[in-house]
Amino acid sequence: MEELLRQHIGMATHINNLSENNPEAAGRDKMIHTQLNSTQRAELADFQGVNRSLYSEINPLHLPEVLSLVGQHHGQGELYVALRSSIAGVISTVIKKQCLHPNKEHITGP
Amino acid sequence: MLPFLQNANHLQVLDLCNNSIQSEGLNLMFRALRNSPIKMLNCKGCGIETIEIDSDHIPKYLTDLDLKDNKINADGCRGLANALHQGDTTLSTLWLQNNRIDDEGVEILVDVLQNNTSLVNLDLREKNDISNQGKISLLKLVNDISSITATLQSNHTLAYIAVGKEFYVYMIRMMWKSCSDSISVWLPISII
Repeated sequence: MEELLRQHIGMATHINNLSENNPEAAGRDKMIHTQLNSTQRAELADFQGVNRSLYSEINPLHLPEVLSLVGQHHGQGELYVALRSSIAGVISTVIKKQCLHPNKEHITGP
Repeated sequence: MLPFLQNANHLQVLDLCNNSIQSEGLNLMFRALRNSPIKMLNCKGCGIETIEIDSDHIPKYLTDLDLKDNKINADGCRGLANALHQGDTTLSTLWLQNNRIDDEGVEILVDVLQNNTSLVNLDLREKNDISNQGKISLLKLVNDISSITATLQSNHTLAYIAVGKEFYVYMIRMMWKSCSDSISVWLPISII
């Protein structure tokens, strides 16, 4: 546990070091490398006593962009995990009537 | 020595390590150095326990303060918090290894470092009595995962926090050197 704690401290300070004088970049990198990585987040959440999902905080309209970042930085395995956690939010952005309307026209004809 | 320090208009480095100046000496010295251009002050092994510094009495240009091998405890950390609390503080390196800092002392430092944008290096290694709870506080300081806002508002200035074994710090430094252009190198480290 102690070793893992030091590794996480080391990772965060390493990001600070790379983003010298640019707090916005450091914050963004911490979001990508810890909040958007399920393994890293689970370890950090365990240490810090956090037990709620990250995706409950995100406006569903921003989810496609967030999921794109997950895929870009952590690969398809992580993207699958992220989709599983956020799928309800993603689907809530779909306007069902508009989706169904063209299909209805296609079936019944003009 | 105080009259000399008060008039030392070109003094930038002062090394007083292994002298017995103790807490009172340090506090007097800080007052005397307030308007000097001093940047580095070494008070290693000087028997310092508590620090009573008003924010008005901190040397204006001090960047590097070495207080290792002293007896600084939670009360001493309160004094240091004053030095780190100022909006225009210049202190960027603070050596505190081998003191008597416990979790309470860490909490005091963490509280003040939430809003500090000058301190880059903080060394708390060796005989300090910091438990895993103290380390969790340090972790939350640099990466609070409780919410997106908390992560974005974490301390983004501290680039080096040393706590615990010396070997680990060595390992991190080596990795910084060899992989300084890549963050992804850290991802596999958690698996080791």
